[in-house]
Amino acid sequence: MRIELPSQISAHTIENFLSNTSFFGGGAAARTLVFHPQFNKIEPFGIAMLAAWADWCVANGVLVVTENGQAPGTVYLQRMGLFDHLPRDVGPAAITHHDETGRFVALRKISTQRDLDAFVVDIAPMLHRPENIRAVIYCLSELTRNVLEHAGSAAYACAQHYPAGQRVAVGIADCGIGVRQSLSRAHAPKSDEEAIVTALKPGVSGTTLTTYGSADNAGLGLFYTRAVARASEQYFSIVSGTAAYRLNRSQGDRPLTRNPEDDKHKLLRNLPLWKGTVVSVDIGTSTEADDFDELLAAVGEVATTSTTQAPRIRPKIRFTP
Amino acid sequence: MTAAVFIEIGQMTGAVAQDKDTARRVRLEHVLPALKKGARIVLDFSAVNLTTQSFVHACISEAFRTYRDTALDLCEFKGCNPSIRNLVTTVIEYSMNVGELMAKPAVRLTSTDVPQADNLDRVRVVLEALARGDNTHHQIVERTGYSRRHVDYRLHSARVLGLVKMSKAALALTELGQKLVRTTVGSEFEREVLEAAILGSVILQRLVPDLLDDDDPAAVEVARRITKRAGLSPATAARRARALISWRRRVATPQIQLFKGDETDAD
Repeated sequence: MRIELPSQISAHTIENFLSNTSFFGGGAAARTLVFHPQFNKIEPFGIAMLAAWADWCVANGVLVVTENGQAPGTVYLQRMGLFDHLPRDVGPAAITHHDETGRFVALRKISTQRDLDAFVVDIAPMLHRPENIRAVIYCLSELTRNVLEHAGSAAYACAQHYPAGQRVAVGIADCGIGVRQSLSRAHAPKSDEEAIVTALKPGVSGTTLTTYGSADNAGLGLFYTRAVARASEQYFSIVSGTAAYRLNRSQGDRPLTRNPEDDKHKLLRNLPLWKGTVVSVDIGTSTEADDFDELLAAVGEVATTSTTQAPRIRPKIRFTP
Repeated sequence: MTAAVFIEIGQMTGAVAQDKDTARRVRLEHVLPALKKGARIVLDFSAVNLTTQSFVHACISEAFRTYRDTALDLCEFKGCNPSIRNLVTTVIEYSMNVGELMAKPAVRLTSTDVPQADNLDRVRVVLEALARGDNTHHQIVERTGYSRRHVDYRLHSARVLGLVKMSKAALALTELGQKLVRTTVGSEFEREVLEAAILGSVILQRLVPDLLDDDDPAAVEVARRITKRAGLSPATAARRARALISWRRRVATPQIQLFKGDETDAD
């Protein structure tokens, strides 16, 4: 069974990529992953997907071979570590090693909290833009921890800085149970798209019906991540099962609300199955350090609004220097 | 006077406090025990540059949901930069607002609100009868072999748990009730649904908000609350308290209890 990749895999073209690429059809038949002859761009979420899928194939006895491994963009994939997971039909290209600092975070498989701790430690010096390190670390931490807690599988993560586009793109993928099954323990989503939309709302956790979750989980990770992308007018996408949600970059004057469907977005249905979940978030780099602090305050304001019918409590908290 | 408890978060986590396992340990080993004793607690974030909402939630949400104003009085957050301060504020605010909803039900509790069935597995048998289409008391009695009185107790408990809707016209499973009957008996999924039902029950959260906490609520204390809040006699309240404690045992551990056949329903 042949899986033909497009020349570009990006958040902007995600609909085309997802609609025309079937990773999990074909049963146990061998897969040939074909790189487009002009393959020249792939964003982190695509790399994470390919790595997660490749390891899933190994674990499930599905043979994978690649074709057109000499296409121009595959050198980048080698630097990002994808060919530690995928075979390559030609020998490794000679790579000129560049300083990774400020450029990218290579692919990492994260199976435990210790792996995640090490990953976070490695991120900071690699992305030496202090005004957006915190936002990147925040999103990577929340999204990866989500996988470890809810997906029942390892997370595959990487990041890339695009100076011209003034953004950092983060991609995390897994071949776990997916959002719908994760939520079904406490909720009853009728479809993958309903599950995704539900999961994006604040206070929805797969561990309990109680709003704002259990002692360990609040169900706010995806909400915060979506808000970070939204604040810097960048893409945010989540793929799970046969559905995907992609936040548009420009929201105009729309305020952030609890409902992801209030935002300008695309909700894709009936896609070829992805077994698990993929999250792609772009974080703008033209922001100042204070912007992240203000963003957290603004997001918190929305998260704590209208949760009950009772008068809202604004507690007086003891903060000391 | 109980000594204050000082927790240096940065020493445990480094500059990025994002390990939820550590947050959980802080909560269970330091925050909750301190509040239970009435001790002041200082959470020092001076050495932390960045944290996540998830970390803060795992660290303190339950404390503020349970202890509310007491937690506000006793907890101090030291050395928080603006982003950490924002996250702490958010977590405390939604935790206390959720707790407020649970502390003040729409109607005052009456004696008839307190569940009587003490065997959740037998409650489930009644739900399964409903799932098969038996939607009158008579049909459920015929199906299960339980007495009418015990069917009533079990349906009432199911209503308190949000598993059954009752109206003059008919009985029906709620969405949560449907979810429960689809799980395998004794499975982790079943346990999780029952846990969600208990946590989502306004009546139970009014009576025993700590029913599923790590520390066993004492039956004597539960009985006292039932007497005070629902007006039951001490003897009746004691029986109902034992029933609720048996629910906790059924739900708070992953495996089905070995002694489930030994319990009988209250009169």
